[in-house]
Amino acid sequence: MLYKFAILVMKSLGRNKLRTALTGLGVMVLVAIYAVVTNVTSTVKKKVNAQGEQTRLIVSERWTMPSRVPLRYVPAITGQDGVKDWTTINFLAGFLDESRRRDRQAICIVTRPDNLREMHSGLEDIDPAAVEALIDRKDGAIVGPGLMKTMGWQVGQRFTLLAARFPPVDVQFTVVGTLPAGEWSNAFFARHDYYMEATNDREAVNAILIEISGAERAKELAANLSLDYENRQPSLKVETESAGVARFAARGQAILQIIDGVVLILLIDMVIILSNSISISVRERRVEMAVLKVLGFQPLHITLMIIAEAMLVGALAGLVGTAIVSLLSQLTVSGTLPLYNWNKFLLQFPVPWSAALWGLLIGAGVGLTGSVLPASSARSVKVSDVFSRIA
Amino acid sequence: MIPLKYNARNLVVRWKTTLMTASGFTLVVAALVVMLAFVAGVEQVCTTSGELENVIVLAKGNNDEVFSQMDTRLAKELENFPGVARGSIGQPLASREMFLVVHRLLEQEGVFKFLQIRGVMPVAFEVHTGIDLIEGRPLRASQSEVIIGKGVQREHQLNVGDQVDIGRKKWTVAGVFTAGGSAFESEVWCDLTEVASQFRREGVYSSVVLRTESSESAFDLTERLKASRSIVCNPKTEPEYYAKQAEQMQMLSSATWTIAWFMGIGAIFGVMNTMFAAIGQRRKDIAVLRIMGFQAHEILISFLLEAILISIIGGGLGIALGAGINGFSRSTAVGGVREIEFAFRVTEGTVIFAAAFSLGMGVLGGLLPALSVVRIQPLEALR
Repeated sequence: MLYKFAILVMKSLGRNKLRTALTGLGVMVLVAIYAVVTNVTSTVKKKVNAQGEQTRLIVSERWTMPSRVPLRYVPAITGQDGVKDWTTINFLAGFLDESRRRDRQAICIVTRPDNLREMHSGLEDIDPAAVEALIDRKDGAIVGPGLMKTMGWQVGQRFTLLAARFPPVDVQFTVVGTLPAGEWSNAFFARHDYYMEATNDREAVNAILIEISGAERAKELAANLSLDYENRQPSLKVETESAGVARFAARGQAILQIIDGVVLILLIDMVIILSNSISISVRERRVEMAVLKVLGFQPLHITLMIIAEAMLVGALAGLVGTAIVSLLSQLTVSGTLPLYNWNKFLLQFPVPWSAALWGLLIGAGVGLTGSVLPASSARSVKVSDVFSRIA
Repeated sequence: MIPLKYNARNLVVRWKTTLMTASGFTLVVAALVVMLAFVAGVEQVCTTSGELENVIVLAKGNNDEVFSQMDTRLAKELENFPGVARGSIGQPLASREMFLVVHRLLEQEGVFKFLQIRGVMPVAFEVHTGIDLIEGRPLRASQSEVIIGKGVQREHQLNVGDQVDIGRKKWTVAGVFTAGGSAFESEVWCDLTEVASQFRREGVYSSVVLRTESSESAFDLTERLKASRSIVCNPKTEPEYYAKQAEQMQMLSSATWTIAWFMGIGAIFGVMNTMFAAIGQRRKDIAVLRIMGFQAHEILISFLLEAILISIIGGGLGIALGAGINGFSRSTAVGGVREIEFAFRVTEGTVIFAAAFSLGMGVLGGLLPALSVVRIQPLEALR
């Protein structure tokens, strides 16, 4: 019975191949861009809401930015009870050549090399050989894939960062490895001891990152440290990593809200395209519906048939659309596809293969929503009306 | 030619399909208008910030005031550099400034919010002539007073007489200013000496802004400073400096167009579907038209016009809907850590772009179905 029903649905779709193809293509394109856009926003939101990062605290200067936490504070803070691991962070922004163009800007994160993977979210998949190489080589740099491709670098390449700091200084690095694609795609990591040597900045770090053994202890420690260092000069603030990220993300809230609005419009647009197409199809097949009713089909059967048609087109289009985007993303990340302006951001926000499954579900959902009205119109076809018109 | 009335009536008869297809256009165009209005709003703030006669000097190697630091010696050399305009009592019109991004603790919510502070001396108001006090009075030095930009007033819900915590100290809001919609409206201005002492930055400045007699003099001064061997710094005319801050909007602008193109392609498939269905339903009409003597190309144009009509209706509604955001104020981050208050701007250019985009979608979506009309054989269609 189900098999026959499926055959009927397939045949109905196959009757007007052009319409099915156009509807499918419309939904496919929109689901593809939907997948890309939501991938960007969900990456940012995931970072803000990450529960796992409730145990990671950021210690920074309380009042001003860029923060300067005296290096002398580090032993006392990292020696606290409950601190499992820690690292320091200094940001070194600069240019990669004398043109000082915006597309030659780079940011270097200076930190401890030995626990790079454990202490920096987004580096969980870093190649252990690259970390080893950074430990071995003082002037080493593990560079993001976006930067590597933009500059045409290979491992072993030496480069100079014209640091935009006071006093200005040029720092030389050697590429020892590549970072995984993701949030650090256009940045690079280097060693703090080398930074101190090259810039003579031995007094302070921008922030201390500490990993605490539990969320409760993290809360307690954050409160204690905030109190202890409130009246010091400079005073410090302690917040969870996710709270810190949320504060920065809030500054781009206008952009995120616009993107959310666009996502909603994409969904509505998909529903409209599908609904319109199915409505036209239902109007053209009123005789067929009447015949089906004469043959004993119940209104529910007809409703289900229309919904199934829409869901099938939506799901397939969604699957293909997101699969294409995922494929492009993976080809970009693997380096098979050359880097252009249009696919550069895929290095920072790679679309995983699992998105194809979401695409299928979203497509099916769009099909379901878009077919409600046409299906209800199809189920109410009156046999007598249809045949009296023909007669 | 087939009268346009024929197409218009057909659209009315099939009003449900027309409405749905047009609403697809409406949403795409409305989204495009909003996205472009956002980009235009931010660009407007950045490009109108700064005065043509002013030169902003940062420390060498720095492109942003947030990271720039220069000492008193350099500031003095800049003040005395030939070409700097003089004030009423002969003092150089050079404003030493300290730009800081501070964390403001919102006691009730227990969260930190960013606040942009500019420490200035009285000469700053002769250098930045676009600052207009709209409420309250000017700030008094060494009295822990601030004046706030209109954007800060909105974003932080502050008014004249309110106390604002900056660091450990409480400052009183003495006035509210506008600055011609520029980035300054997102800042808090206070006494340079007082803020420097509070944050232990005495004798250190982020920038020195030099006033000149004209825009040509400003350009000339910039060039001479760049060429100077004795003064090592990074000079830029003020408009150039702020325009650079808007550069990152290019990425957003590209993203806007990419999303719009994809949405447009989706809508094109939608209109194709509608037009193919319309042609399918009206094969007999088309045959009659051919028999009546209308040429194939006339029928083609007629159907193309129908698609264009849908795009005009949908696009027009979309522009009207999107234009509703015009003037709506928000704040956003630009450059490194700078935050600006901006208003969405639906410009003439945006409207023209959106209209052309909508029309383009209509033409592309209607062309293929219209071409298929040519292949219809009248006798076969009438059978």
